[in-house]
Amino acid sequence: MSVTNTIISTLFLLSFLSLFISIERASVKLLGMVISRPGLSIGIITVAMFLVLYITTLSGFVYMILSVICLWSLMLGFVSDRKYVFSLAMIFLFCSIISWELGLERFTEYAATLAYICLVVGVLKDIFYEKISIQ
Amino acid sequence: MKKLVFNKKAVFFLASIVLLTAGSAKNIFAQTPLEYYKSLFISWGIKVDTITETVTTDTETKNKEAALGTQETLAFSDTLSSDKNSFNSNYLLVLSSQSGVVTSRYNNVIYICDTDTTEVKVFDCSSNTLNGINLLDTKTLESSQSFSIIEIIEPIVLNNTTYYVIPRVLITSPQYQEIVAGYFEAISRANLILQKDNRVEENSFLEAVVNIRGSSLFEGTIYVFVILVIILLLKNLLITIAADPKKLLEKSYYKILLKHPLAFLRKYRDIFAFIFLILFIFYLLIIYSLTIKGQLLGDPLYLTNYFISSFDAANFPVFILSKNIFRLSFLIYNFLLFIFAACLLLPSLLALLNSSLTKFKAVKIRLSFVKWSIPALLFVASVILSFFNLTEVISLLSLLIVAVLTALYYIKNRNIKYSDLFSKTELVLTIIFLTIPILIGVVYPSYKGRLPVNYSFEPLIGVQDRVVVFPYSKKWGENTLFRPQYYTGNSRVYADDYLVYAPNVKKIVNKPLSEFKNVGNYIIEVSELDKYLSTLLNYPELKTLATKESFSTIFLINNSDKSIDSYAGLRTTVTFNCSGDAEPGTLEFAFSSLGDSLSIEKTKSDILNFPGCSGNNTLEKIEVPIDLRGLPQKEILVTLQGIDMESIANLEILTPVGKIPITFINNTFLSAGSNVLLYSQNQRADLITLYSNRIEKNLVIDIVTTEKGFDLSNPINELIKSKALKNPFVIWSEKPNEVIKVRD
Repeated sequence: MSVTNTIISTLFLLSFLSLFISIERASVKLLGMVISRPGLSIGIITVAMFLVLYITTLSGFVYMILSVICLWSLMLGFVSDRKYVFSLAMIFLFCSIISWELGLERFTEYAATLAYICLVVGVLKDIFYEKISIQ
Repeated sequence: MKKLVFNKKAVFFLASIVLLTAGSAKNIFAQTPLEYYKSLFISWGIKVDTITETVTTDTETKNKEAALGTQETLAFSDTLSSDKNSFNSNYLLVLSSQSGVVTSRYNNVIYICDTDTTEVKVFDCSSNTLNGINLLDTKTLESSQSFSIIEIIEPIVLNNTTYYVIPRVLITSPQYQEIVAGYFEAISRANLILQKDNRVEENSFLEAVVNIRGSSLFEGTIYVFVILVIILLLKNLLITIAADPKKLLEKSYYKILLKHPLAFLRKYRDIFAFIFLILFIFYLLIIYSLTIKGQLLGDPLYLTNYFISSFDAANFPVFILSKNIFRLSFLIYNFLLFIFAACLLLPSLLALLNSSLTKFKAVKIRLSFVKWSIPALLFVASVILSFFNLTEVISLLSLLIVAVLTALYYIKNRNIKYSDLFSKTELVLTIIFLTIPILIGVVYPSYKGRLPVNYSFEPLIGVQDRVVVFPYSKKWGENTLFRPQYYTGNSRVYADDYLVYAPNVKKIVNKPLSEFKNVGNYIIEVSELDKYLSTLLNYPELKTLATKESFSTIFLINNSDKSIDSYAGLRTTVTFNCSGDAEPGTLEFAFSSLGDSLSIEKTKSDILNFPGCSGNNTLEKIEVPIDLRGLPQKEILVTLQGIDMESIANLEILTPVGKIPITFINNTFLSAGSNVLLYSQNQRADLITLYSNRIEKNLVIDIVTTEKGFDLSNPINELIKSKALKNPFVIWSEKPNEVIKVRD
């Protein structure tokens, strides 16, 4: 494990520990403003994130943006009505069949993958939504 | 059916138009010397007309020919106006190689002598001489030289026409050209003043405009106008800053700011959608046409390459200069498509973002899930960091970081007391679990280093292709070695910078270049021009091996006795190959010499301005005086730069007493695009040594050839064990496309 990796892992540990340390009063005394425990934790994770970005430069930045987009889309699919997700899967499936008939193999593959993703999100929602969220 | 045929024809017709446009737009023709000189004079502020040698047969020209009594017919180029008066204000640019040019219609004529035969009739001028003065012998950088050159090119008035007679050397030599440029720029400025005076006399209205434009009140008004425009544009922002700056930190402020543009986009959404649809349909046609062209050319990547080269910002000036209308239109088309797509999608995207955020806020997640998700994500992140490099796992790590941040924001917004969710035992256990990956990460590598490595084996040439040829790129996993791969060819084989096989030898030694000794059979491996030059300068014994009889764009000159810069009247003769498209440009000498601390010192000097080929000969010689004073007193490597090296056939450096000895250096490896140059002594010996500046560890390889051939995996495995190879590494042979594997 490189020194950088150790520092990042340690920052992860610290961010978790900071959720248990009472810093509200100390922050008021020192900084004149209230810093909540999750706020401090977010700050530490942000430092770790900047360290990662500093080392990986552009690729890290791009991956962060891609991660935000993917996570947002996944969450959106997760909180949306299952009817929409499955309807979308049906549309993509229909497109893949049509494109297969037209001989557009690449498009068929792509549409089929999209249908598959929608189905997975819908099924995941069916299985886990009630276990994760409170109705 | 008929309709279908018609549609196909229509598509083909459209595709043909696109193909023809794309194809024709690609043609760029080499600039002629006349065009080159013209662009130079225009850049100095002199308005010049030229006469192109196009033979015409119409009656008018024949009459003109008869009237003028010329043998050759010359038609005026399209740059000329038919108005006689307008001719007089411009300068006529004529070359001595253009015969039979009538100049009486111009008041000013710039006459460039570009032929070596002296024009005895009117001007005593050749490409290097004027009025009997040989400009090649003039000391180019003497203090009085500027004046002497200006005296030499002082205009001559004949029959009310002013002639500026300029030998070609005054343009082709960068030092001379600088002086000539200064002279003509001064003339241009003087002409401007004269024209201004004339105009002012003619038109009092213009005079008034000029006066107003120059007044301080006008300048002040311009400033005020700019401020007014900015006030109008940023009115709301200014009011907010002045009245309530805190508002800038509020979300509602930006919502209001975006309200109007978004309302506009929503209102005209249907129109945007219609325009986008139309543009998209035509876009499909363009892509279809480009695909057809790719198929016709047999290039499956044509479409991709076309897009990449079209969107490459570095190519924009080329498209503009070459007037590649199709490419420029394609760029504008893409830009419009993007704008309309953005106009169409932006309001919907923002609405979706808004609604999703509302939904996310409304979702209540079970506390047990929130409780364990954060340590679980952090644990996974720490574990992958313990065993992998950051760059290898960046995609997964970034996803985990974003997920942790999302969970923390949820806790913060819901005011969840996270610490209350854990019992003391749970907390201690969680902290232990999170600490374990860090401890493993610190302790495991040193422990692992002491363990014997269990290598797994895989084929060196893993692809299932029927035939595999060198070079071959191989990616390898950790603790992986390769199964025997036999080579039966007779070329030297390398893995990255290491020589792993050589025919007819029993032993190979790979050594760093710093250990070089000029003994026995050896190979020097260098990559890149800079490394090549520094190797040659650092190891003088290699120079004899690098020499070449014929011309090369790298050569060695010896200035140890300061013989080069002591010569007054030093000049160079460059022979250009005009059988191809030799483009005009400035030829530069890049000097490399060994500094005091064995580092390479570099300087550059402009040597010659090549005006392009006149089209009369396949080889064209241009001679210019050069100034090489200030060169270091040692051996100097000179690299030619600045113009297409294919267009140079030979080069000589001359003094009044003879030629300066030049040693041409082999540079074929550079033009061949290979990454390595080799020098070897062709003695028969059992041992061969490879020296490379990229080798850090010595590696000895015993060549044991069996009936099956030589096992390449054996030395490569040794290199893998000593971590000397890159990942992926490249196996390559001196002979190009040497076959390594043939599947039965």
